[in-house]
Amino acid sequence: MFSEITLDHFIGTAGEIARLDLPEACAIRLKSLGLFEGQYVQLARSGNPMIVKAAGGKIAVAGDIAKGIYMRVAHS
Amino acid sequence: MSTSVDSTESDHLGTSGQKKSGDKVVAMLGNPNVGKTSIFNRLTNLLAKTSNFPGTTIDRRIGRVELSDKKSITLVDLPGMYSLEATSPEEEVARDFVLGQSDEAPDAVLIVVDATNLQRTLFVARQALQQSRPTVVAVNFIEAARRRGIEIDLNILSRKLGCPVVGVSARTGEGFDRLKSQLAIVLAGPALPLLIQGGSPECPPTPAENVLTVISDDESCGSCRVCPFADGHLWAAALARESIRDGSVVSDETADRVDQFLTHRFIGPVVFAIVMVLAFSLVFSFAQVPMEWLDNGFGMLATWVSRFLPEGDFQSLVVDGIIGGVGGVMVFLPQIFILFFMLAILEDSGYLARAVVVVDRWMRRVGLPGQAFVPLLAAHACAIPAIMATKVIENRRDRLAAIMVIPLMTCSARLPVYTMIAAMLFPSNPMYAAILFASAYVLGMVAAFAIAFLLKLTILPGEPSPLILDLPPYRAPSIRNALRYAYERGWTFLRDAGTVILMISIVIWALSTYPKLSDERFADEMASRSVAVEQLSESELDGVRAAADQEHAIIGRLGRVVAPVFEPLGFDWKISVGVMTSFAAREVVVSTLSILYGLGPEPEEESSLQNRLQAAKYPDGSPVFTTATCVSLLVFFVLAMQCLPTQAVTKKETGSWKWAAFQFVYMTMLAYAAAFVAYQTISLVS
Ligand SMILES: Nc1nc2c(ncn2[C@@H]2O[C@H](COP(=O)(O)OP(=O)(O)OP(=O)(O)O)[C@@H](O)[C@H]2O)c(=O)[nH]1
Ligand SMILES: [Mg+2]
Repeated sequence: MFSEITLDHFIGTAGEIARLDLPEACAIRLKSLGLFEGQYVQLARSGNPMIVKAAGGKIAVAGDIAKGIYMRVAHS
Repeated sequence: MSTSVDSTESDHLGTSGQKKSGDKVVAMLGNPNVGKTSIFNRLTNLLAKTSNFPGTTIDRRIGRVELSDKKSITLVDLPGMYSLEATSPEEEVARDFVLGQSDEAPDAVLIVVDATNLQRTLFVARQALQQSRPTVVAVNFIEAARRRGIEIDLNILSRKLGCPVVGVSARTGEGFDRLKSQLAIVLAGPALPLLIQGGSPECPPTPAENVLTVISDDESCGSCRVCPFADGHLWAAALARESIRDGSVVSDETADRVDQFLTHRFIGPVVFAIVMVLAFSLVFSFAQVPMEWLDNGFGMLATWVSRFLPEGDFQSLVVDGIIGGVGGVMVFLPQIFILFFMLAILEDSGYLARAVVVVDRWMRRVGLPGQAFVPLLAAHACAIPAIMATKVIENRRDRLAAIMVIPLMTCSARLPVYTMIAAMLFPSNPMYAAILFASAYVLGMVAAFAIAFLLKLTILPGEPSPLILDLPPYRAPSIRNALRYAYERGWTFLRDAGTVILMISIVIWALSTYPKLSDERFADEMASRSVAVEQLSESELDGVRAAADQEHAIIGRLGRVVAPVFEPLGFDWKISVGVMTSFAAREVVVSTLSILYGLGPEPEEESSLQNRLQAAKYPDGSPVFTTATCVSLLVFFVLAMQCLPTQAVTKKETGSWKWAAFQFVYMTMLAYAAAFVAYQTISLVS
């Protein structure tokens, strides 16, 4: 079983994006930068802003954006 | 400072940049920061601004390239973009041009990708390839990749992409001959069959592929099985894996650790403060010696010229008007050159993007987005490129807020004024002078943040939109680029000093020399003021005569009209005139004051501007430049909007005179009020 947790509450160093719940323009920008549903990302800095690594790039995102990025977590 | 001063096409169509009708048009396209402008500069021999910050190019640039076969093409450098689904205005410029939605479609496309990061940069390349135009792919940073042990199989890449692929390095010039010949071949021959399907006629797109080129709003990534982004990125990742021959790509752990450090909650801000202080103190310490040379040089020139020219109006025009006026401002060339050099180096290293991460949280509180940091920093050199650089801010509210406060930052044109005042207040104490400088900088910044906060509470309500910033890799900054950039900016400064300031200097000289006071009128006036001319020594008489001459001249009369306005700030009529003339360009105040206080008899020893100002007295004998007046003058110049070109750029970038007018009015009022408070407080205390 899987459930979702937003990126700002995510604990760990890497995970998979489950979905984006953000305004259209933000979502498009994230997706062009390689943050799309199903993408595997690594966390390089937590806090606000946080830094994630994906698709060969490094992206800083504000807390408000992180709140709209849902990560997949395995249920224990 | 993600800027390019010549933002419009027509501005920089130099002789080599002219588009010749009949030339084929090649558009450059790729992610931000992959080196498009660097390649463009190398191909066209032009000097466009490049830097290690995404979003450096903000408008298209056009240049002409001679290909190897004596044919020439028109090359168009475009703002970088992450995908053809543009989300910002500068991406729209690029997209519309590539898709041929603007006036003229390009004949071919030059896609630039980054050899050290193929995966990321191939994504938009794929979207562009689907346009089925003749295409050449340039794999830039090839030398950097090789150094890091990344070896790319260009043949595999070429086969998979279905177009010629050339490895190049804009830094070393490697591969440029091949790039030119490939461009010639592609432009001459028939369109190559594209292997990536999408829009090519002989291969009708499948529905899934079709989604790759156009996504309609309702279809955007509902289910990621047909998500064009996922598709594109997975394709790019796979292709990057296949074409990189040596799999042992160096891990970027070091960069990660540096990032951790530079953006650390507590260490980050400390490093930030150190970097800023260090950068600015280096600027001032390096500039000191060449500035003294220049100052002495102009002094010697003036002495030399006055020996050769016969005494009279013409000598006065050359020595006081031209050499005094223009020289007074030109002395600042070293400071400006070094300031721009430092900014270019800082930005090129990749540090500035980390600084954005550090300051974002604080800037947000006052209603500015983190992205506004780089323009605000650039504003310390000049507000004009800084205002243009706000194009990287997508949200209009955020952008307006940034534009409104940018001119409060201490730009290089204010340095002459600061230096003049520091020299008067602390002539023999460089330490205090440095503190005065720092305070002026801080006053500008504090004012900018306070105003941004007020704007947020009043006419620009709302929160700045949250940060999404692509962090560029750390790179060894290119000294050559930084020198070129600093040279270009320094030259602009010289050109302005040579034209605008020269003109204003001559006008001020003329206004303060004519009409001449006749000897009889002078005698009458002295008599009416009951001055016993006979009892004055010769030098005293000269001084009185010069003052009377000036008051009689047009400028003296104008000065008396405006003087009451500035009297509460502690300015005499000459300073008031200086303030008025500096509304066109603030550094002019220095040349105006050096003319107004310079005319007349030379003080005994040195005749530096500082000595003359210090010697200036009111008719009752009290000094003009008291501490209160100096501080008030400084505060006024920190805060006032005195730059016509900036106003024009504000109008252009905001689209209305309304904002330019608002900026002018609020800054002038703020400057007046703050200078008033400063003068009255200090006068009271002392
Ligand atoms: N080592 C190395 N550095 C390069 C090369 N090409 C460009 N650079 C550097 O990469 C940075 C980005 O270059 P730009 O030419 O500004 O990139 P751009 O694609 O025009 O960027 P935008 O205008 O932001 O879209 C600069 O710091 C250049 O000095 C290269 O081949 N090798
Ligand atoms: Mg560029």
